Amino acid sequence: MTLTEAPPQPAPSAEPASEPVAGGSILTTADHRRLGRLYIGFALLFLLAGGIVGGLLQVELAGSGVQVTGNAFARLFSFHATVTPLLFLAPLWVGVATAVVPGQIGARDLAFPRLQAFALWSYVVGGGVVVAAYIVGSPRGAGLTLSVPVRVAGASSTATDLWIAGLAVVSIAALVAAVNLLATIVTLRADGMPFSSLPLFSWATFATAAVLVVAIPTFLGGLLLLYLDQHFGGSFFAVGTRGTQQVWQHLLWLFGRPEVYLLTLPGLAVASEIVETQTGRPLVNRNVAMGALGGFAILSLGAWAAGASASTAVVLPTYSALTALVAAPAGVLVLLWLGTLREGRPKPNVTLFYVVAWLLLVLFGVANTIIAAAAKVNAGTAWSTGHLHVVVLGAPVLLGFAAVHHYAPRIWGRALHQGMGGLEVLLLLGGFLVMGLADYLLGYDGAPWHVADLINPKSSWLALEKLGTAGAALVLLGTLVFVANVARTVAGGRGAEEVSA
Amino acid sequence: MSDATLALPAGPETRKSDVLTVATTVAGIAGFMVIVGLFAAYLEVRALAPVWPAKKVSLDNYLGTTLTLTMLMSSVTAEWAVQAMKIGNRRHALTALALTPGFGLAFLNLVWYLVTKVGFGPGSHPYGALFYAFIAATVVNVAVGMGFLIVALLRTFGHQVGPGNTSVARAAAAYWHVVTAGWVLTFVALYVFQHR
Repeated sequence: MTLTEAPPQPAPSAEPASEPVAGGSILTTADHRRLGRLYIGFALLFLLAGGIVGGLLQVELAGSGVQVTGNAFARLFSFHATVTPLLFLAPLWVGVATAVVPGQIGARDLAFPRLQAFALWSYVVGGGVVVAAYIVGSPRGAGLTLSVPVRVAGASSTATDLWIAGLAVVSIAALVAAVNLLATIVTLRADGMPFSSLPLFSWATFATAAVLVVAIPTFLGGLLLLYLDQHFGGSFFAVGTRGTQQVWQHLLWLFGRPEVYLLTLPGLAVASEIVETQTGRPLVNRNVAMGALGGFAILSLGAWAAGASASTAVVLPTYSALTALVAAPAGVLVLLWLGTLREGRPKPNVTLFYVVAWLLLVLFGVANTIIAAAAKVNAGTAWSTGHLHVVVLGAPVLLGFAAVHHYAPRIWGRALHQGMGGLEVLLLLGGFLVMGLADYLLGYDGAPWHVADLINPKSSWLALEKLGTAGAALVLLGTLVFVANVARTVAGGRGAEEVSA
Repeated sequence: MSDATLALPAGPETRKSDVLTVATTVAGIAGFMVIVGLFAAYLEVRALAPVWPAKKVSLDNYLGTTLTLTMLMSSVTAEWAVQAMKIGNRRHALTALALTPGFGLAFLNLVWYLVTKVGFGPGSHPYGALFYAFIAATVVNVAVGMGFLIVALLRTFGHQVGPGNTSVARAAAAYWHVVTAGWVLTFVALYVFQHR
């Protein structure tokens, strides 16, 4: 007698849309794995563009005197602050989810494969329009990290119109992808797979997409108002108009603040799966992990109420608690990982090194948050730059790259090179730590942020800026090694480990 | 012992919703959230502006009410189409599916008339920016909904939709109801809350 375990059966394909769609050329493909690969490829291209510009800004600060004049600096700064989070990190997660989620839930394909292709190319075109806006001129939006949308109210500017249009197209693309992933997870799960049995990454993708469906449209409403105001020469967002600054904060932040956390949420799920894989055992309490991931998603919306500082917070009595609460689910997950690692026998693997690096970087950020609170550091100093680079960019980047390593066999059919992966971890962790340390120390000493050059700098400031530049160079180098590793795997280079997808 | 292959019993079958209905409902919620965001912005600016609405701005309640009634009637016809399809009454389904985008077209025509008569532009004052943002979001929602309804109409006309397969019509109607809800919220902002 032979006893076999019945594998999960793919969902019945009553809907024509659930039939797998054959490859074709890159432009016409609707195959979810190829779309995922293309998403990852384009996201890495935008990362290189944003990273190189960020490096230039750091070099400018490290040298005495102004090499990049005010307007050019503002343009480059806005480019770096807009492109890196919106055109790299978010699409990277969409790409990984597009390639991995259908397989994880036992579906043959996405619910609407061609819709995902539409979302991909909309993202590419929208991203291209955003980049074109910076080539044409200086958009009046000072990036998405500031609470004031425009510096000058008045006549229309082609660059600003392009910037708004590009961001709108990218946002719509993200919304379409989120709707598609939601519909896939809700309706195309294998028979016998309830929500409680979803793989953690698919569950996190579901939670992320659900929050985005609520958050992105409000941002689109804000962009629509900004476009009408800018294009028709209105005064809606002018400094003198009462109430409208808060409107921008509400509409931007209901998307922007959760987005900061949502860039990490899928990574937390990937890290959980990595711990499970490398220890060869399930998490010590999987249901708690699912609850923590869901809680992280819901609580991320509450962060909208926070301001850059207590004096500008939208909802003063509650914002601190709401923002701090988001840390609780992440802490629970870390405890679950540690418990699982303690019970299992973890195998040394580059993906696990990435998770450890993420933990070290987050602890570094948390320690500096406590120090800053005790030292009463102002939010408008270089400390904030350091925090953005360590917690908002650095930590999710580590988890994003860990995800690509972890799922590479499913995405490309081959694993990424372990040795190169180890080098990536060292360079990226070292780079983010050095860059963050330099900015944190500058902030403690009162150095301003968002400036083209430090006016009357202390001698220690220039030394710290040079240290920060060295950190940025390490990060850029680590990114290049990662890109080379992916390119090597895509090309099927010698030694690339063949794994059946 | 026999060499028969034994399989572990499959897990309980999971109840799953129709793909199109789920996706359309989620997309409808997203469209509605644009209006909700603008509604919140409207209340904020309305509360803090020194003058509200702007000077010489007065929207005609008659036109606003007509627009609202048009959308409400279109929601009724959309639901009529779904119910007719369920019981296999093809003639009624086709009539209702043709009437609904017709109402949508009438709505867009009235909106165009409203825009030509209001006497201010998006850049005139903060009220103007909000007014046109509401109108633009509604027009996009209505246009998408009309496209969806026309697809449902053509598929019904081509016998691809019937009593056993109403998902396209069901999804199109669900989206249209959300569009109507979005307009009702817009009506509340622009007409009911027109003055402080």
